[in-house]
Amino acid sequence: MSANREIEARLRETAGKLLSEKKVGLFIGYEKASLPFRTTPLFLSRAEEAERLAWNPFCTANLSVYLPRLFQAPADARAAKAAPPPPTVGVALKGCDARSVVALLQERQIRRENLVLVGIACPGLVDRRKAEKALGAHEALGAGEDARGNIRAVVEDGTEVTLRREEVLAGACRECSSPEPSIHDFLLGTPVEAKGAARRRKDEPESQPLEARWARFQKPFPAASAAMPAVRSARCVTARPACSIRPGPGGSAPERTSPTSPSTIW
Amino acid sequence: MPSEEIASRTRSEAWEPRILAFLCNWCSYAGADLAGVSRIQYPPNVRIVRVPCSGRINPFFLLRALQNGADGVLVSGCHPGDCHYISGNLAARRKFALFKVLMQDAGIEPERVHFTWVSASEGGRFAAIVQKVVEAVQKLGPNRKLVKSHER
Repeated sequence: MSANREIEARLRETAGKLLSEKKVGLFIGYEKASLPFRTTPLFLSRAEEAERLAWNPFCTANLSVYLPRLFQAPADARAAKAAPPPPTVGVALKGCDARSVVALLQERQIRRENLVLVGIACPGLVDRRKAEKALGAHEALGAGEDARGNIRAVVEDGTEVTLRREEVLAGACRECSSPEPSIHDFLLGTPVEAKGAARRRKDEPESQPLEARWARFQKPFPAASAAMPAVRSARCVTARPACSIRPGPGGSAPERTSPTSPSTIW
Repeated sequence: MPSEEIASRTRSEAWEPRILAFLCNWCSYAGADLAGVSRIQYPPNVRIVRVPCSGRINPFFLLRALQNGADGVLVSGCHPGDCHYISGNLAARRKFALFKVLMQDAGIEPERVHFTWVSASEGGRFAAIVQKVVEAVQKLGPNRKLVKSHER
């Protein structure tokens, strides 16, 4: 049984339990969609329907978007008074989605006490576009996952194609630094190792010190120096009086009067 | 400004950061006004530009401020959900999140650009924020990287 299957079984069990014990009035999760490589959001209010819940590498949607509207009070004061109390909601959350929930909580768009966060230690999701590209001319009719996490798709002529997991994993998931939700009430699945730090590319600007970045930034703009060579930036349309890079009105000649003193009025 | 003058500006005790603050008309400007009316003391290094909404501000304004000699920039709008124009402050927040990343990518100290919320009733908070921004920019020293020499 693959990790995702295990999570799916536990998700159904947890959601069913929460609903039948009336801990939540509504559970938001994923359901298998009619198209391959996709899932659709599922809003459950009956415990018997928990079997409809799905968890697979195609559960890309961020379910936290459905939360604020459940807690929104009517703008009209009288209507707000008469409005029913906000519901208790259970929601399936990946590590990345938990960040949105944290932001929503900070802005008081949702209420923590009315939420049951079912966290999922996410092993990584499939990029639908990558999968479709990998299939080439073939069109998938159905897709699933095998025990090793590779993606198996049935294509239009009935044959089965296996796509390697590394090939179709979403870019963000390859470098995910928070596969587990930072806040949760339940955590399903075995903890996944964060890969972000290990995979950070060393020569990316964000890993360099500020001074090195500035030097790099200066390189394409020699025009900013005092003696201006006849260099144009890549986007130059010779709109020189308006140019933010080339100095001076007209911007052409490097002729400069002696440096003026800084204006005292600022 | 010639480089030796910049150097002397850094060395001298007299250097004071110049902060340009863009405040929205409905919350932060009123907050700054309240700070003044309540006689709350805050550093005089901040020059305020009033805008109708923080969403009015183009990130290029901030860039121009830094190019034209401001040592730091402060943008302040209404708290989320309180915007007079419903969601201008949220649009502003998105822009500035990106702008800040851009600044860091180009090698500008991120502490030069500050973004915050101040409501009309938060005079004390405004004063505290100005204090904090001035201290942060003071630590960095004068802004030299983006300044355009011909405009000095």
